[in-house]
Amino acid sequence: MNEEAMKMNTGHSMPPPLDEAHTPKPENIVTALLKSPESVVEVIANGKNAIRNGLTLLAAAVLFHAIFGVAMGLFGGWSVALMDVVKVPLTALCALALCYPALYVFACVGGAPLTFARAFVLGASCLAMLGLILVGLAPVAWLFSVSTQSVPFVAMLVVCIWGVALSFAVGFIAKLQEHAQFRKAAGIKTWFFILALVTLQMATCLRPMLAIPKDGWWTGGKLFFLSHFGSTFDEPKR
Amino acid sequence: MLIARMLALPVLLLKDREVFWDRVRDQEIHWSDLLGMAAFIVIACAVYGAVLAGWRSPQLVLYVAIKLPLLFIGTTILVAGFNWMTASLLGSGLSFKSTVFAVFAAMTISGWILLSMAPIALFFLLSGVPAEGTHDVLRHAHNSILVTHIIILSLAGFGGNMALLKGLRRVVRPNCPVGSLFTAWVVAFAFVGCQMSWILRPFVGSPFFPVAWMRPDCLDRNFYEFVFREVLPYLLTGAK
Repeated sequence: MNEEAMKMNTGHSMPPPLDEAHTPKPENIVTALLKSPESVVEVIANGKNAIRNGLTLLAAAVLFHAIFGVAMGLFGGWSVALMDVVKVPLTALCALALCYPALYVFACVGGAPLTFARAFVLGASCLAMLGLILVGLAPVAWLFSVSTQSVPFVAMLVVCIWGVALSFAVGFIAKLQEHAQFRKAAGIKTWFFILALVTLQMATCLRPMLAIPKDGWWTGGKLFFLSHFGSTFDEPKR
Repeated sequence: MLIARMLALPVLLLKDREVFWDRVRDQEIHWSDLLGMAAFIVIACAVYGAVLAGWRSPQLVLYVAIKLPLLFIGTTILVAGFNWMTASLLGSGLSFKSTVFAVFAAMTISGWILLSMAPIALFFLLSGVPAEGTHDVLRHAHNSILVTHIIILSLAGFGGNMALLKGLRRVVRPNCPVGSLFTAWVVAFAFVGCQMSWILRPFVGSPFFPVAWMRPDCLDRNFYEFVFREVLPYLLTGAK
């Protein structure tokens, strides 16, 4: 159907669908996520090169989270920064892996059925979008991390920055709805809320992130994320 | 082969529900198809049930893996007659078989959600809930895991019910009040389900009570007596 016919049927002009020439190649997918997210939506929808695109986005997400890990970890010195290079991307990756079955099911239940491969690209693109914003705000995190002694302040700052990144990723999911295949994105939005909660618990599981424990990198012990974030405010100084 | 046949309708419900509802409307489904859906619901509920009780003891894991499917399937059986009668009285044009399939479809969707959330619930269980500790630690752990499961079960219930509402809109006659029919079904299911879960408790397993198949006082009073005699007075006056 041409644009004129669409206009006549719907009463208003609709954007033309992106053709293959506008679909980004796997090597440009991260740039496309930043500059033209709608083209990434098209990649998710058509499922072409899904695994390669997904892996590229995932690699970018790992890199971006690692950079943010350094900026955040410098609060406790280079040893903590080195630890956070591993822990921050690991938190994001493990949370996504745990939530992957839920993404597939929630998208289908919500009325936007995906294949496993397309669900993989969607999950990876959400994580990459989060990472992009985290990298953008990494200098801010670094500035405040190295200029304070207060653990609660840095913890709050990191949570706030992550919240900003989350809001952009939600915006990306809202962009999905502009595509005919993802008109019903309620299931995907619900999944994203679950991903956020799982990420908080994963960060608790992989604690500490702002200090080096006495032995190794892990504290161990079972703790619910609300208790953990609550207890952070009991430690006024590093 | 058997597994593929068993999973055919649950997968259809997940990926292409409109086709399923059209088959229900056109009476193109058979009682034998119900077995696959029932088996899927039993497995999904058993898997989630095992996670639900996982923090307490292996014995309770086994019990709840049996009891959770029993709760869902049992409640459906108990309200099946009422569902068919309300559907008939409200002029839906649904046969008894169609009403049973409609409810099983909703539970299948809930089953998919429970299955997909089982790894997440297990992760919260393994990383956030200590099974030993002081009274306060255990109480906090119990409440945390309880809230987690309530959120997940609510999500599953909501997803299933929304699918049911959309499905009913597709299969009933045009003059049937779908909202009233749906409300009647949900209220009946919730009313009976609360009592069934009261009888079959414990599910999550309080750390302050011994592990048991069912509580010794499970038939002494019902869920609503408990709510009206103990919960409401406490909420209204602040004292038992």
